[in-house]
Amino acid sequence: MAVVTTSQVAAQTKRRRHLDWILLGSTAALAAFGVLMVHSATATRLANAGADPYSYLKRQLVWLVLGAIAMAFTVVVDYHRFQSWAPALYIGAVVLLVLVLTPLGSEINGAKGWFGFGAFAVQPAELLKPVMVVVLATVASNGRGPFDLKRLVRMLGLVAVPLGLLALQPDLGSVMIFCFATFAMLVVAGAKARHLVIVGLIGVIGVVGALQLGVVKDYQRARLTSFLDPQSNERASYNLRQSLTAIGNGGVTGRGLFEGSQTNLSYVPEQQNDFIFTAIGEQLGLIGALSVIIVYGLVLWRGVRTAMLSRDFFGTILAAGATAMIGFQAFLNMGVTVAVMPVTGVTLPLVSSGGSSILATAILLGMIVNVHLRRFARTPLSPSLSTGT
Amino acid sequence: MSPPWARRAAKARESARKLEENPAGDTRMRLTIIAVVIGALLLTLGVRLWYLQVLDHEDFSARASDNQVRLIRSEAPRGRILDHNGNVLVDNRVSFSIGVEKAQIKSSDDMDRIVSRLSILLNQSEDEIRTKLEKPKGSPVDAIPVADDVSKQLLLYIEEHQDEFPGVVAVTRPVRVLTQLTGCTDEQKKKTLAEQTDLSANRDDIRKDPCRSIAPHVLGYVGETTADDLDAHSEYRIGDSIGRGGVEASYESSLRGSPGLKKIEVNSQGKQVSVLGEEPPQQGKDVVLTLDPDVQTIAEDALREGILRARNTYDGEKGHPTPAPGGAVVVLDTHTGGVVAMASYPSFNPQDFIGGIPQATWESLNDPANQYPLNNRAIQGQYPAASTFKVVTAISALQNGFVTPETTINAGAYYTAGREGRRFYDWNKTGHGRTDLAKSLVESVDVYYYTIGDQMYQRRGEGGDYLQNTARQLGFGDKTGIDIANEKGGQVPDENWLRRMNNANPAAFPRNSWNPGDNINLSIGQGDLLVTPLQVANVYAAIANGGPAYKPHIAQQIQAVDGSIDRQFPPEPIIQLPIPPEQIQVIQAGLAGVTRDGTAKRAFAGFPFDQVPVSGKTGTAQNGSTKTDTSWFASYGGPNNEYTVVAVVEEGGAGNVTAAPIVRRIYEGIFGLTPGNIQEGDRTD
Repeated sequence: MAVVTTSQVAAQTKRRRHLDWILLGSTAALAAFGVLMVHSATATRLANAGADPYSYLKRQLVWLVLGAIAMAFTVVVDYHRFQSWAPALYIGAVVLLVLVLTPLGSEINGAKGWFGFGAFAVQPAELLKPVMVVVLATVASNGRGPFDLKRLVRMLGLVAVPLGLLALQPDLGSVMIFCFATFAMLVVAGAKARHLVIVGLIGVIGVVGALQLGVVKDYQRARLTSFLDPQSNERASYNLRQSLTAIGNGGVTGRGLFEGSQTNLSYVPEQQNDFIFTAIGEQLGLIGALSVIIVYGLVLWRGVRTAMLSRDFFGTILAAGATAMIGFQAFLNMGVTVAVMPVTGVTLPLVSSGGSSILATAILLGMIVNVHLRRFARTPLSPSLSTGT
Repeated sequence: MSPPWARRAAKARESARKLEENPAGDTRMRLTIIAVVIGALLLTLGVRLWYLQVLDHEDFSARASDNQVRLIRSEAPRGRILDHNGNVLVDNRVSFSIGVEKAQIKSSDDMDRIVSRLSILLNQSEDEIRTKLEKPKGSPVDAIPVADDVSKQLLLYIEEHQDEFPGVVAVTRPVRVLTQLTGCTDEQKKKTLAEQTDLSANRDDIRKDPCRSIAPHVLGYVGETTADDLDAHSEYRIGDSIGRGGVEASYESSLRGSPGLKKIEVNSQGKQVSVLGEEPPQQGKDVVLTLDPDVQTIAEDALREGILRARNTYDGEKGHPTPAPGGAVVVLDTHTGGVVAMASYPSFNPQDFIGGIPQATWESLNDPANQYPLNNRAIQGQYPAASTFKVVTAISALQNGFVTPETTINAGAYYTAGREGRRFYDWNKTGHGRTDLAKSLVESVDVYYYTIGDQMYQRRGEGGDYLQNTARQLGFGDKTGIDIANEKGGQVPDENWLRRMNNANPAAFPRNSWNPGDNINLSIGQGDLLVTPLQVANVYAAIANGGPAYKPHIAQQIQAVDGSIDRQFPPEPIIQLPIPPEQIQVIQAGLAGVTRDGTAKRAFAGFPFDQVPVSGKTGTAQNGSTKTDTSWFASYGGPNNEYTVVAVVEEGGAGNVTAAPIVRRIYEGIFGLTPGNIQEGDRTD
């Protein structure tokens, strides 16, 4: 295949034109901003501690390269093939979630949700995100006739198992994200309003039950409710108070990159990770923080637009699920730092350091790009197809 | 089986069909709903950010700078207290306290952990630590001390385990070193001195040492500020040292110095990142006293021995052993009013207060059964003056023309007053015969003074309360203003006073009119008159000086650490006897006769008056029907009458029996005389 035919060139050009450049641009912007902020939030503190100020920066770059590869792979393969992978992906993800609860998994910050591999830790809950989007979209679009109760129950059943496992870690942040994404996918799939209400009620009862029956441990409850009273005498409240102080300290224009006493003197924990938005708020102020929100808004817009443009129902739900997953996670992460959401340890997609999260987000975004790319083709545009003709 | 591409194509067609079944419009609407929901959530964040970063920005940025900047106060070393020769009586050394900065503790769980670890480490109960942490007001960023004067090892342990003790800090503070010791051998003194400056020495061991600092009541002690102190003095912080009692309290503002302030930037672990500014502590000023440690030791020993001797005697009149629970001695420099020595019994060990007094010791010091050892009876003890007051009556009578030195009164066994013919008995059942002023003092003739007291009552319509006026003129009924904390003023009773008492407590004071008997009792220093030993000393100093007495004071001067003088206290006349010198001479002659031929003759038997003239007056204050009398002896002596010495022993019996020998021993000590035998004798007045 040394000779490139004109038709192949035309196809390449066409494909490139069908890429969602706004979404890709937003993705690149978030990723680049993440690199900058991870470095800016940690450099001074690492230098003060006598460590390599570039250590987080380097790690972030490695993960972003891996993320870009994963994203490219996700874009290149026709998304319809995901349907056939769904059962295997699902079983694999659930097995990992079980294994992480065994002594093979390691505990970080009180949750048993990681596999450690040297300097890198893999979090199965993150990898579950794209898997669940594929699985739920497959089930939602698989079957005859309008979306019915059978498919709804099947979707809920499939999501319940990993949710239970996540709650055991406990990783309540991920549980919230999956609940929101699943609900959003049910809405988009066409579930009847009364069914949605019932599902919502079951969710509320589940939450109340978990709190009442002691499934949620006291310290978790204290952490979850600390955002209601940031002045209380709990460690989570202390962290939250410091987060609010840091963000408020930023003002409109911020203290400047690598500046900000709250960030540099480690008053806010996990400032390169779950609380990176706090560092953004302090260092870049309202302007920086709003910019981040706006870029997520762009992602949201492109995701929903792709779902609308999808040529088929699976693509619609796939794109919608991925968008809801990313959008809600971003909201939850930022909401925690400004005390509008309970303190849960979730990352800011693409921006926070954290390899599994970057990979998961890259794959989810890749799915949206994929659906957008193939929105007109009546036949799949995968390389295997071209060999078939 | 159809080929894979056909299967895929079929699937694609299927999907397209489904999309048609599910009308695109409905899906669009549902997608829009999701978009709007997430969009609204993101908008919420924007609004919230506006609040935090625009509206509350100033508040948060203030909090952020509070977070990072900490002020570390370090207490200044207190000024030293020096004796009359400039030798150190009270010094300082550095000590370490363990404090807790509550603001650094992030949660109640952390607090629980820290309290339980400290409890084990400091050997205190958790409740004890919690009480200390909860009580104080003050700023939460100040370290609240939980243990004082801890060992260096303990300190190192806490510093090495800072992660286990967040918010627990070492506070450097000076503690007192007491250098003038008494009550032990020279070898023991060396040991106690060494222990006091040894950082690893156990406080309890020092407390058990037989050596005690001299003059604890004069020097006072240093405690920690309480919430009340913080209310009164805004410049103090919780746990600061503050003088309590004695010179430590009265010269607090000079001794204290100014604390050092260090402004540092800290990270979230409370670790110092940089120093933003530093102001070193300024040591307090030294106070040089008029106190002579040698005389002080002599006075303390004489008082203690006199009281112990009194306790070995039997009070035949009241039918029980002499209790002699306490007493006091004042030695003034007659010519300046400077306090040469001041002793009070029972006493306390100032070491108990250094590094925080143990609760049991504190309770024992405040237990009434222990006769309040913390009280400085020389300035706080208030007793009827008894016959030592006769000089006041004499001065008043001379001043107001009731008698001249030559006037004689025929003194029988009793005096009969008023129309009811109430009898007032002399202490001497056989009477004294014709008595002039000098004899009235030598023999302490009660009837002489009863007569004057009654006459003064009769003529009070002309000149008011003659005796009370003179008494007040001579400083009774009011504090002398000595620069030692907590002085009492005593009381000079008169009709107004009686009315007030009657109003307030009619059961205890049934009368509201001043009777001749009240005046007659007052004339010999009985009744409701209350005086302090210092007030009495003041009047005898005036007699010795032939007119003026100088304000009693303990501080000679205040000087900076380098010795430069900050303030001096020259003699300041406060009273002046209102009679001419020749009349004063008569009184002096009478008082000289007391020790040689009078009521104190036996107490001073064999005393070398030619070397060391001593004049004085005995006093035996009646104390109700069951209690033993209060024993007084007021005197002045020395070649130039340079010392004024007053001793009082509560329930100590007759003045000549208990108090006069104490005074004799003091003169013997001061002038290096061989202690003479004190003859047992009958009680006199």
